[in-house]
Amino acid sequence: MATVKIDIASEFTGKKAFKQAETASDKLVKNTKKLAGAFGLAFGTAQVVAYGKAAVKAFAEDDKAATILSKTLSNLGLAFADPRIKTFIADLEKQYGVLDDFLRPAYQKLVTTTGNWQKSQELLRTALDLSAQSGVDLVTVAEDLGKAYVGNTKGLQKYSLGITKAELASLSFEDILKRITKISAGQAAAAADTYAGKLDKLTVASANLSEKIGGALLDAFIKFNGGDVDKATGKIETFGTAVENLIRLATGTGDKSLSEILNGVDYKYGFIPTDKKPNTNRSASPAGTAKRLAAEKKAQADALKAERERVRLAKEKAAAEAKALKDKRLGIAIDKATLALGKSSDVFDLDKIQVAAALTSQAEQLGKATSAAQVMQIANDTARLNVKKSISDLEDAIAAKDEKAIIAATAKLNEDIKILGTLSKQDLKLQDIKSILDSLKPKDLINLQNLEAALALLGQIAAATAAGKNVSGTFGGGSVASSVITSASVAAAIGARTGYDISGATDPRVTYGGQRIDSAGNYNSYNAEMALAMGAGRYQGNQNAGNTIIVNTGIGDPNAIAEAIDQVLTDAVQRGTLRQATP
Amino acid sequence: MKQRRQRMPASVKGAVELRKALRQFTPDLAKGLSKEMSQALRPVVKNARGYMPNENQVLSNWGLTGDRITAASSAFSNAKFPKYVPSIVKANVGFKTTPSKANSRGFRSLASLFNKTRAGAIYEVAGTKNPNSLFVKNQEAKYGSQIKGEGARKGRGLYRAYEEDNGKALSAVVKAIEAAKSKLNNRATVKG
Repeated sequence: MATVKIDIASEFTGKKAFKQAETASDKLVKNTKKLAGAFGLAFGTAQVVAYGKAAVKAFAEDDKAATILSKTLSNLGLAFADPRIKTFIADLEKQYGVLDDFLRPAYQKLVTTTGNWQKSQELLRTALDLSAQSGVDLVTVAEDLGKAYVGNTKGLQKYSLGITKAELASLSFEDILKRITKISAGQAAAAADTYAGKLDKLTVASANLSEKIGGALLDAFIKFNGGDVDKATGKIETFGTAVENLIRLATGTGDKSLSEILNGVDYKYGFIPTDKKPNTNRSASPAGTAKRLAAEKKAQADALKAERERVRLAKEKAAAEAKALKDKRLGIAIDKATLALGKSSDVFDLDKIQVAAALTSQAEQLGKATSAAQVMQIANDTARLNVKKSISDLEDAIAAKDEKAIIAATAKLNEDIKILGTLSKQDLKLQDIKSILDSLKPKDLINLQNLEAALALLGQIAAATAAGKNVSGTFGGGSVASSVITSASVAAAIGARTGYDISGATDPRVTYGGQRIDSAGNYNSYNAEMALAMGAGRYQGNQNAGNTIIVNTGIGDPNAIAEAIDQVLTDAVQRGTLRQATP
Repeated sequence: MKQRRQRMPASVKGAVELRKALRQFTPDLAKGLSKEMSQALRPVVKNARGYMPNENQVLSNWGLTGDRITAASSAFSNAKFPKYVPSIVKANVGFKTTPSKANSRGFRSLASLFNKTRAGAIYEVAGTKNPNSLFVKNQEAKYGSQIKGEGARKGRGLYRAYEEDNGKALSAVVKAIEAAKSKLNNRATVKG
């Protein structure tokens, strides 16, 4: 029934408008709806045109990457696997929300390195996990894995795999891969399940939509312009304007009718599907299938051969590294031996031997020196020898490049030069000479042990004398003791004395070898100061009186007794403990 | 393909929501708006009713002169060609000031003029598509009439009256809506 009705002032409220528009303009309006959803309803011509250009560009780049990968596979003899690889990449793209813009180059690097398309797929999955775990971009991870596959593991150090540099160099790729898998397994799936991962999936979907639209636009406009790409790009703007108007019409925001919009553009080419057929690389004919199967078998054989070659190379590399390690160890041993030889050569170093001999000779001369001039000369010679020795030590330290030794030797040399300089200027100091002489003094000749042995020997002599003969002598005050000298008698004699001078030859503080007996009757070692004090006291107390020492001996050879006494006196004089009084 | 001239209806944004807001917050303005719209549309309806023929102005067998109204002869019958009953036809020419439901294209009219009956619609548009039919020739030859309007809106009654109104009714309706909107905004504005 015809409805006679006049609508006064209408308002668009949406809802059914799209359905009507779809029915009216079929695919044209369907695509308009898609574009409207993608663009948002508020976009203008500029945005539509920009999107169209971006879509065409995205398609072109994607197509280029796909073509390069296909060509790479073809060059590697893996063209038969191209469809499966494309499917694999598309699945990964959807599963993990990673753009094929990254997946294709990553896969290409892997397959170029390994030459095995199936192994490359495994590695690409591992690379996705490692990339998600480490935050390094996928292409870099794939490149590092590819390098590690052929033995260059340097790139894997940045992933913090808990493997040392030495381990990375020594472990096989399979072992490294196990370690990587243990650390990063499931990371990509977990990342894709996060909110950010879902957004990435949306990005992937949007990018794919752009690529598809771009592909359709490019094909359509190229065809529309008779195959001229340059002209085709110029038409994209016209198309964008038409799409914008369609969106506005569909949403009720435009003021042009459908016919007015479509009058301005030859839209029928705008949405013609591309003439491209999916490249399945599969032939319907049996001959084609056989050819493909043959290619597949050949590729598998090549991959197996390459794998064997890789294993062989890895073994050779391991053997070479083992040999290098062995050589290195041998070198270290040789260095150690050389060092030891260097040390032992010091034993036969003539200069050092001569210096040592000279020092020893100086020590002997010192024992024989009888005057201060001789002592001075010995000290000068010794200082020169020390300088010579320090120079030799410094040269050795410099040759060894031992910094601490050089510093120490330099200090020692400076000290020796300083001493030598002091001696050369005749600015002799007692302490310096003493330190030089002390350094020459054979320490084993005078020590407590030797003294105790000497005292024991004297004790034995005294005991033997007491047992065989009477010993008589005088002790202070001119009295003569006819008994054996004991500690008690000495103490009594010293206690009865007054003053500090040596009373006479019977004073117990004078005895053999310059030794001294204290008030308790004990033998004490020689003390130069004490001797000097005793001498001074003697001179002070008996300056004008001579001392008479009477020695009573038992029966024996008089000459031997006289020689013994003479020797004792000579020793005492030499030590400075007994001097003849000066009138 | 022959292009059919299609006049897009005047489109107003937010008018439906405005009417709701007026009813909810300012009922007096809502009533005032309806009244103003009625005043704008009533002359068109009056003229349209005047253009609709009486019993003696239609073909003899179309009218109900001397016949009883039966189910078959009723103007509302779908079974047969509807009889023309002037009172009923004229009574069903009118206007509406409440928003309609959205049509298939998603548009809602804020006000409308209508000629509801089948007989009235026949008189309205008869001959606009096929002017050489016997019915049209006889009607025109005996009683004469004028068809006015553009495109799909060509007719003898309502369309003619709307065409002769020259858009005054439409302008008045839109103006009334704008005025109501301004009044509502003024009331809703907080003045310090």
